[in-house]
Amino acid sequence: MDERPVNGGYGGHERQGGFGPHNLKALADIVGREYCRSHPVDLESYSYDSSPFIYSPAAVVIPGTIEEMAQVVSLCRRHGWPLTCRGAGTSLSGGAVARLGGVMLSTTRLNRLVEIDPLEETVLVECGLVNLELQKALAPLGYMYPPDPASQKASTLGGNVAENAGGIKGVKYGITKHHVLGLELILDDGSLVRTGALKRGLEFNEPDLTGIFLASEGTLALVARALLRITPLPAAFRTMSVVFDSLRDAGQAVASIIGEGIIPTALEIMDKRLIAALEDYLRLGFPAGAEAMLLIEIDGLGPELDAQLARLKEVCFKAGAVSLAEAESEADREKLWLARRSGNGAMGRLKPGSLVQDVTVPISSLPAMLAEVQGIADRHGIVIVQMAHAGDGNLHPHILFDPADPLEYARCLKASADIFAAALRHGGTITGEHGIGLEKVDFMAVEFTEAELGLMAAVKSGMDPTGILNPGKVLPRKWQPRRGKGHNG
Amino acid sequence: MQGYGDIYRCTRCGFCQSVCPTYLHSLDEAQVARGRVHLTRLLLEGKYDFTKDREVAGKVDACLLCGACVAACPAEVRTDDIMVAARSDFAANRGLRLFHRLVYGGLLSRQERLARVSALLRLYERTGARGLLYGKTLRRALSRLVYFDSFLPGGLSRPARAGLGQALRPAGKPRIKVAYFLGCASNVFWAPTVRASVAYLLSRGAEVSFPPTGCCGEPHRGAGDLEGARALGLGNSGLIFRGEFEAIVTDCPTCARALRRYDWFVGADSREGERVRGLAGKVMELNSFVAERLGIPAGGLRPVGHGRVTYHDPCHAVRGLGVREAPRAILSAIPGLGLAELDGADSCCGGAGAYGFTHPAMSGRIAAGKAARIARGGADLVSTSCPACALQLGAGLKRAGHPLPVRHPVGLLAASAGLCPGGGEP
Repeated sequence: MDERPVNGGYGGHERQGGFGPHNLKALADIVGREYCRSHPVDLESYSYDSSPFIYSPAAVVIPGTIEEMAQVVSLCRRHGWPLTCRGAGTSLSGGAVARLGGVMLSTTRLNRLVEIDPLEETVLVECGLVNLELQKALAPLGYMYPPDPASQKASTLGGNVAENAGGIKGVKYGITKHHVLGLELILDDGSLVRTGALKRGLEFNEPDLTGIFLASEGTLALVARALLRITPLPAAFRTMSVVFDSLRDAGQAVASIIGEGIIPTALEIMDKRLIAALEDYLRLGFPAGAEAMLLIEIDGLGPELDAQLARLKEVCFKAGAVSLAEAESEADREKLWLARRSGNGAMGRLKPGSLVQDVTVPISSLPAMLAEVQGIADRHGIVIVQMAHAGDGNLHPHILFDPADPLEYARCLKASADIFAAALRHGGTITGEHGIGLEKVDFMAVEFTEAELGLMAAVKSGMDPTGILNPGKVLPRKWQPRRGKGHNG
Repeated sequence: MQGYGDIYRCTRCGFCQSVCPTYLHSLDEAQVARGRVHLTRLLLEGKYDFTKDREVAGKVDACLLCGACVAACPAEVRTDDIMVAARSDFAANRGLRLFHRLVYGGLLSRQERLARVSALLRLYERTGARGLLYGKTLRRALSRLVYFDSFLPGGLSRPARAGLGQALRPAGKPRIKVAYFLGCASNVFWAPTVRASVAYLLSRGAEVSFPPTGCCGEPHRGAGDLEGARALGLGNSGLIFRGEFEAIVTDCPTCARALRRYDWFVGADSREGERVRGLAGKVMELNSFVAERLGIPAGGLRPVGHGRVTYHDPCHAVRGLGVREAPRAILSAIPGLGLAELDGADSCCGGAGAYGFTHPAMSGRIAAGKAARIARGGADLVSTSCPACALQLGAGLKRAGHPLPVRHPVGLLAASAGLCPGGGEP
């Protein structure tokens, strides 16, 4: 990656060549003039996501129907224009920026909740529906959609599917791929196809094609609608925060909890810098000087929870817990989770730039990995703030930098590489839920063999032979299909 | 260039999308706090230019300054203040927008002219001019004017200040001496509410004076005219200091918040800044003053002829001053009146000072959304504590075909106490 840090990020900041009026008219004819943008100032707003990568598209379209969306895809294919699909733009790995310019398709207007079917426990949604809006619609009916990425206030379900988003409840309820029953997809030529079922009870014993689109990051096809599985809301919760003297102790407690066979709803680790930043934001009364904290939640019917809680406390103290506090009210509980979800945004209090890593290791390696990341930070002389969905071994080290200091940024990239290497050494993976995007492309060849990459490349070439869909993402250049026509029409 | 504070704290996490009214009504990233902050960074870094990039100025101008993003931001990036800083740098380089020069500089800074405009508006309401607008042919041609006309409540009365001269004394010995800071919009559009509020304050033993203050200066500041705001801040604070007041009360939360922050207006580090900081502690928004300082006596109140009220939180009250409970306590004290919480009560109505006039399309969309939620809630009365919100809500409800009265809580309380039957009704 040779880009230069700019504006809290890095990337080819200059425009990638505009679209001629003729081409813009073709796009505007599909979505309407109001929803087709090409002024450079308008394009700025679609040049970023929540990652440090910034690339401007040549045009932005915001279709109002699935049919319009399909027509845009078809037009791009005919002209060979690169096409990047974007929901809320909360990708942490550069998944939603237009690396090669071309058309940016925003799904925000495709936000209908088509159907809630409590009998079958499913919902049919359009791709642009915001995760939290779905939760709000389900809660009065006594249901939830379990995958709850920290970005759920903004992130869209189409984006969640394309990135196979995880979430805080992942340890008990699984991640997005465990909740998708079927997809309506737009293929690279604009045709609409279905995989799985869009109505429960209509599943056939066909090859499970749905799976390959989870975490495909918009490189194989675009998600138009999805049939998702919903789950009854638990009747009762217990939530507590536990303070430890070191991250390693907290990691040990996590390993012991899982080892004991307790499955909490959520099991989150936060380090001292994050605790301080969140305290600064929300004033929760976290103990000053706490080195590490574990947020633990269990849920269920109610009566069994007290016994589980007692066991959890015992395990934590055995692992070296210093103190322990239970959330006393629903408001307390919500505040704790608001704190955890705000972790990413709150990093802005510490430094203006951050790279968020997403490595995942087996639980038994978690204590060692947490300590190793701290060691990497010290070795490179940089600041790494650690948080983790500890229950499934998913670490989120936030590597902080000042975009005005290119040397510091270079050290951060080296530290990133060291973290990836360490995760792989522990038998882990370089991404648990944030996706490969642009950020981790170079490390694909480290994690996967030639044969494995070849399989992925074959799927990509089969689905998108001209390489127009989210080009430059996921697969290293060598494995990308050769682009059919020239850039930008 | 200053005032950009913590602009580099934005990590583009996108949480502002869930609350930014212009985003929620456009679903367009160019209309969200994160996008505005991003563009402002590009201005500071020199990619765009304060002297010539009109389109960027347009994006900066399109912010409501409602502060919802600030409350939702994990890094507490103060997008509202950052937008003001950018507007002032645009103004310094390109001059103020014509609208702001004419209305803020030309009218609000010159109160004597404001009274004349009020007279013209009343004339317009009462002559046939208004009826003409609704004629079929003209209606289409003048749809914009019809939109603006919807803001006039009908039966506009003389400005409040015209009837209020010297200090008004309560019946017995005064409990407390109060300066009533009369804002421009309250003066012109909300005179009955002002009179009802003053009547209530007097009935509760307050001595009420009306220092001849001008505009609070917040419209100027919001438009980036920091010099205009500073001049008004200095002038007003001098007038208020001259009297021995225990409290400075205003029915307009925008004025109240401005008065509280006058040290910013005049320069926080200056000698004047030091002086006006002493003022801040005395400033109280009307609801808080009534509910918390004076107290609401339980007896002597009677129904006001409405059954179900819903309350809209003005941005500058709920986020600017932290006023949430006081107006609800007042409404709940009125017998026979049930308070139905409004879905999204604290999201901006799109009034935002003169936003309805500078950005009618977006403002109208936001108002329509608010009106639809009010209609769904089934209230037969709307209450809010800001004259601009009241105009905007009244107009939005009227355009939605669901006209409802909009009243200040203290106006209703005065009606309930039998002090003025209309409760601030024109």
